[in-house]
Amino acid sequence: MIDHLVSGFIPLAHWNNILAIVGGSIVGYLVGALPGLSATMGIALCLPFTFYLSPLASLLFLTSLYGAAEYGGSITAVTLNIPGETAATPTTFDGYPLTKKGFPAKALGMSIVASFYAGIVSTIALILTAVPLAGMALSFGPPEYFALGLFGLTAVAALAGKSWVKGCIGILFGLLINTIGIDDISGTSRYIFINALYEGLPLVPLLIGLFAISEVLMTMEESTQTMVVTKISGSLPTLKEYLRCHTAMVRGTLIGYFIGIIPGAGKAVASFIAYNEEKRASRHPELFGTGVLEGVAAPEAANNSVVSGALVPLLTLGIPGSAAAAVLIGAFTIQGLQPGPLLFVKQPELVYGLFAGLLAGNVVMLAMGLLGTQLWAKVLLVPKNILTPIVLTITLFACYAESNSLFSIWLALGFGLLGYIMRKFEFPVAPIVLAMVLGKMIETSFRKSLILSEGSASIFFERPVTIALFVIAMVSIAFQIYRAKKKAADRG
Amino acid sequence: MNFIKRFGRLFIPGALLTVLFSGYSLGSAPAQAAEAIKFPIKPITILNSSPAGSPADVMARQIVQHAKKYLNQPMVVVNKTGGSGGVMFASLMADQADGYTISTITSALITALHGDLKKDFSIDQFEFLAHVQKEPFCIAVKSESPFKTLKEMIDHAKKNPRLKIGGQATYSALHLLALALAEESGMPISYVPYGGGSEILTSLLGNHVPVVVTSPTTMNQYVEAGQVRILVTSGEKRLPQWKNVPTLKELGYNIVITQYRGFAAKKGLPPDVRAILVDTIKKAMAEPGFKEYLAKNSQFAEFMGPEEFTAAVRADYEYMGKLLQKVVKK
Repeated sequence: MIDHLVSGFIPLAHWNNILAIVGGSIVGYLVGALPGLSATMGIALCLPFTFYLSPLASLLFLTSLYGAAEYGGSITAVTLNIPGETAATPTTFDGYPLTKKGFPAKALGMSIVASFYAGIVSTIALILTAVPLAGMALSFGPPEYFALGLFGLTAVAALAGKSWVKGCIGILFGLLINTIGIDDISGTSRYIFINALYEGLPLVPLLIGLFAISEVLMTMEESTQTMVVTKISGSLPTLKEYLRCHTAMVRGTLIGYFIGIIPGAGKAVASFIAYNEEKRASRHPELFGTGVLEGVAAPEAANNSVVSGALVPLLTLGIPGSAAAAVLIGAFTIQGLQPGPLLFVKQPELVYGLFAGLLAGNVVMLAMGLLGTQLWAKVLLVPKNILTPIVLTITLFACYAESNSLFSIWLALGFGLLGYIMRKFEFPVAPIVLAMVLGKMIETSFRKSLILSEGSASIFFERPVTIALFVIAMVSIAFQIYRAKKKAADRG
Repeated sequence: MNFIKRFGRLFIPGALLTVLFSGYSLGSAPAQAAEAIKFPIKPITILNSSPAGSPADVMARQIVQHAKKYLNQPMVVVNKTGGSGGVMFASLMADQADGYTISTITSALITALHGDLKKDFSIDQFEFLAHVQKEPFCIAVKSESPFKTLKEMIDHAKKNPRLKIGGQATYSALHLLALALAEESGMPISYVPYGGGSEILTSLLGNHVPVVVTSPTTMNQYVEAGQVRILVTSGEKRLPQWKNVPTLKELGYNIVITQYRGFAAKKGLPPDVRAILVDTIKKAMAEPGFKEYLAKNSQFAEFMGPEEFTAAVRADYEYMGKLLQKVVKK
């Protein structure tokens, strides 16, 4: 295997492969930073152009794009409180407070290092464990997805902020609006009043509305005196701070890698769970949400680690581990390749070239990220009365670009208003996003499970993975309640 | 300053001359064009309702690549995804029927006209240009499965609790295939709808369902790797790569369901434009490069011209409509 890997690096010396990695990273970085353009869309948009590249160059371009986009999503999350990607939503929780305190570069620096760390470690994990772990992807049937979805929902504890009840209301609202559209199991239409709702509520306008537009509305309230930013520190995190976050990065990387392997779970689930677990494991959970670096490191590590995780079932079984990886299958077929059980046997040079490219791509991403940090921090020096309208225009444009319909823009504005009202009443908006991410998975897998068991609920309690996930979910909730009780007792 | 003045002095007469000459050339263009203008004079857009990399998209891109030498203008594939094809239909119908916007068409898209799309579109609005590919569906089990033949599977299903069969979305062609077989053979089944090809595959390989209905393309390499066994296919004839796998028809079932991929346009194309488009597609299909792509992906091509293809599409549309009424709308 080592000699395979070494020979995998050889084609990287070819100029068009280098160009593919650098080009892919640049495009990915921009796609990630633009709210509304996701990694999946970026890959889909660039796919037709790769038709003319060699198979290896095409895959290097797209995987570099994928990785860099996962990092890019955190830039606007940190600087503007607008997640550039659904998976970057948890990054806003602590990244944006850091910016408000005047340390955007610390948050950005942490996020790029965490992304790089996760990228390298998970790629090595991919090289070593792809074949043995492939079976894990198959062990997830409908009951397991249902349990994973429920476990994911427990992350609401970390997002709810001050009030559990408000967090749960957000979750229920999210689950409710998730039922809009054609139901996947029976084909029935639900809550469709206009044609545009056939496919359900799209996530991007919702994300833009709840985060970006409500933020813009909040900014409008501020008086012009506070619009001029007083001081922005350009300092990156210190070595000590990096080392302090090391365990957070390790945890985030592991969570991201394993969730990446499970097809259909998705990177947003990974970063929400990573944030929740980090908060739970922390010795000072009350500080989360005020700008702690661990709160940036864990979800950022997780969403980059998903990239390699998603390649495990893709390369070994031909099953994509994420939406972006599903589009990557298209890249393989355009080149006349079939990812799957025969790929390692028929085209080992391609697979190992891809591995080597992933490692190199992460180095390019780190360099670009570090160079860009100072630049992005400077964006914040633009007075808010100038920056805010620009942000509004770009995000609305992104909304339109995503679906080519004006309806998305109205949707974003509507959710913007909703987000504004929610913030006014101190309702956290993130639980809605969490419920939107998990809702479909929970519902369809629950119903598929019951079709499989012919209506018997015992199917959820017969399978080891399901039971384990239920237990973890239960422990997670119990632990948080215990801690809250204890804190109340200490105070009283 | 001096430089700018001199530049201006040169520039203005230059610009005037250009305008003058372009006026002349415009004036003379129609006279020449009467004989020279030949379709196409600008790039042709091919709309595709599935994302880049999907089978119909790859087919369109291969045709585009191999049609290059037969057209003096490029063809461009544009992916218009969403709404079970509705988004693509809408933009096809929004353009002129002049041959500069055509689309790929598949059996799934035409079958979808029986569903919610019926409100906005009808099969009569299309002109079918050329049939390119044809592929049946198949019923697959894992190699370890006790079912060696379709008969064993059906016998087992009749004596045991409902057989679970995994496949694509409710009311899709795969769903109809499973329901039709269940009805003809009298075996009780539960259909588990999955999101797409790779989800169906995962459910089979992970032992979540014992049997799946799917397209041969997604199964080829797993059969080759010895992980999957194919019990039956749903076409008129056996597939060349699986010579020993019988068809449903051979086994005595009156079920033939195939999916086709080809090209269509908005109704009302000028006959000469249609002839050029059809001829180009036909020539591209005969290119060695195109044949190589087919062989690599175990795909089969069969050219059909407008009349033949229209008849085939209509027949399939009626058949699926009847099937839908028979098995679903009871």
